[in-house]
Amino acid sequence: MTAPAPGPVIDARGLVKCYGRRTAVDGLELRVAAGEVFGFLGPNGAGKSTTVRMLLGLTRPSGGDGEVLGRALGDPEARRRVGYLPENVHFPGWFTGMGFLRYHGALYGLPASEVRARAGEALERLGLAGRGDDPLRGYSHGMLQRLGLAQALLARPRLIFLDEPTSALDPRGRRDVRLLLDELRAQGTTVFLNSHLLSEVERTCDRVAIVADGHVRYLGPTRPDTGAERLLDLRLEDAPPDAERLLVGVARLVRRAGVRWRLELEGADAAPEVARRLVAAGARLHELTPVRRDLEDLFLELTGAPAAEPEPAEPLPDAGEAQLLEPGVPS
Amino acid sequence: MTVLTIAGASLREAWNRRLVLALVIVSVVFLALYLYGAQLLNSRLVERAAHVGARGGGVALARQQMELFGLYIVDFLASFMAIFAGVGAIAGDLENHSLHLVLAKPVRRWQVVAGKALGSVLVSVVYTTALAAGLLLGSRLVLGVLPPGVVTGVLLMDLGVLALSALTLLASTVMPTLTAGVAMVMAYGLAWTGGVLHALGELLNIDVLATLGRDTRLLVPSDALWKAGSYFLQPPAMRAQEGPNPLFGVTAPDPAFLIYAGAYLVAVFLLAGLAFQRRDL
Ligand SMILES: Nc1ncnc2c1ncn2[C@@H]1O[C@H](COP(=O)(O)OP(=O)(O)OP(=O)(O)O)[C@@H](O)[C@H]1O
Ligand SMILES: [Mg+2]
Repeated sequence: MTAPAPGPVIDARGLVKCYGRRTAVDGLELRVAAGEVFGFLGPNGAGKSTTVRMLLGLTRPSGGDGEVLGRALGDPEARRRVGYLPENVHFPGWFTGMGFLRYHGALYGLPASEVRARAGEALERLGLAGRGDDPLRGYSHGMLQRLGLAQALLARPRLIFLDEPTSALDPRGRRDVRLLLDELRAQGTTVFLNSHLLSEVERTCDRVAIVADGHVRYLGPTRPDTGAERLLDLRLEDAPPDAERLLVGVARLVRRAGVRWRLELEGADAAPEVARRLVAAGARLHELTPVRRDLEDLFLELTGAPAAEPEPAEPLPDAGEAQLLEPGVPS
Repeated sequence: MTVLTIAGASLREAWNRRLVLALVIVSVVFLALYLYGAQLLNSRLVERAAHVGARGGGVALARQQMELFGLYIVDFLASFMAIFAGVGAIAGDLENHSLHLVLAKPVRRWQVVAGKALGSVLVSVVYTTALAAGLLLGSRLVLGVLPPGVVTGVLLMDLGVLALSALTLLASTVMPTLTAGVAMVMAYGLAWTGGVLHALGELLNIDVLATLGRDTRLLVPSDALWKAGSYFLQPPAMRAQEGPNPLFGVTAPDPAFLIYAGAYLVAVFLLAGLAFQRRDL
């Protein structure tokens, strides 16, 4: 019907949300392009769900503004081709699966026959075919989550918000969701995924944002290249007490747990020098493994420490270009 | 269309959560009890009247009073039904997050309120009218009485219950379910107290009291609307004998108040829409 929006599908400009004296979202800047599968990560209470609710017009921002599918936040028309699976959904036990989908399909303003067809299709797709006539009080937790997902697909959405869609799913269900996301990507649907399952995010998302305390701390590709191959894991016995000082100029200690050390190299080919210095000082080096920093490392690094005063989050990098948005992270 | 979809879902919910069933059972028990009592009263009255050789006047009055009292209880039951069936309309759906799913669709906030309002208007009117009709019909059969202004009287009862429905919906958009329930019972009590004060003021010729009691109806018109309805539900002879009293109306309702009540209803529903529009989810 409508041509794909030329601009970004999601454009958040300095979104702020305060609850009383607590700031849940603090000047959030975010742009998601059409067709992206976007992961939105952050620790509990970081403001992820609040952001999604603001983008959907459920929660009114205290400041800033934005657009979804080219329309101002809160414009009901923007939601015509948007799917949403909230983190806590209530499923009235008296609805049947089919009845639930038909009700929500009707709310999109679709004609009844169309709703019926799409609801059947969605049940099928989420592995609930045959259970459509059962009342929801007889559904398991995971089945309800599948139904919630089916509900989010009814509008044939151009943009779909999934707030922890797999938290109750069995491994097969998770795989099904992964396949579903691939399918959506192939159809050009933009996906905005809130999830704590980083391995899942790594497998499915093109780009991620990591938020903490309402700020975007990282925005870039899912496989961060920053510091790639510049981490070194060691298993080290009889380490000299002044090992850290010994390594000045070649590497920095990131963390140490017993005989396991993690170092960050200062030069791309500093590993042999590290080994040489340690061995020369009498340490017994059992293992030396270069590691690529993964999403979990990045997540822990950016969200572990108590929040420092963040810098303004602009300017945003283009897709494919990583940017660390927390000051104090050595680069 | 969306409004009808939402109203339809709230009616289906009432059905599926056995609200309708519970109402039917309670109402049947109430009517049976009432009619049994009426039957008993009637036979005793006839017996005694025959015994003392009295003419029909006193007996007829007692029958009409029995019926009017029955209608008072109908109004009471319908009022509490309207309150308790309605307090969760918005608040309950917000508390369990099911409205988040609805409002993430291309649905406007006012459409949700209008749908819920439509559902509660239907339930209130159908229930009040059906219960009143059952009681009137039963009284006609058992006691052989039928008040003069049945249609006007029952319509005014409906309007009184609707005023509570509207206020309940407003409460449900701005308060949690439990709080809304408490607030509404207090509103009902306020209206009732106003009615009592008004009757006392009239009886004892204390103008301030009478005026204060009467003006309470501007806040919560339910009791005054019952009084207005009950005026039409009794024959003139009965009103003349009663004089000012806290249960039934004995003076014709003033038209300005009835217009006010209609406007009140519309205004409260609009206010509920507005309140929900401004509410943060
Ligand atoms: N309705 C509300 N009233 C008051 N505070 C709220 C409300 N909703 C969220 N908050 C606060 O805003 C902050 C962000 O909450 P939000 O639900 O967005 O976090 P989240 O990132 O989704 O966390 P999680 O991973 O646990 O789902 C939290 O500190 C939370 O306490
Ligand atoms: Mg959340």
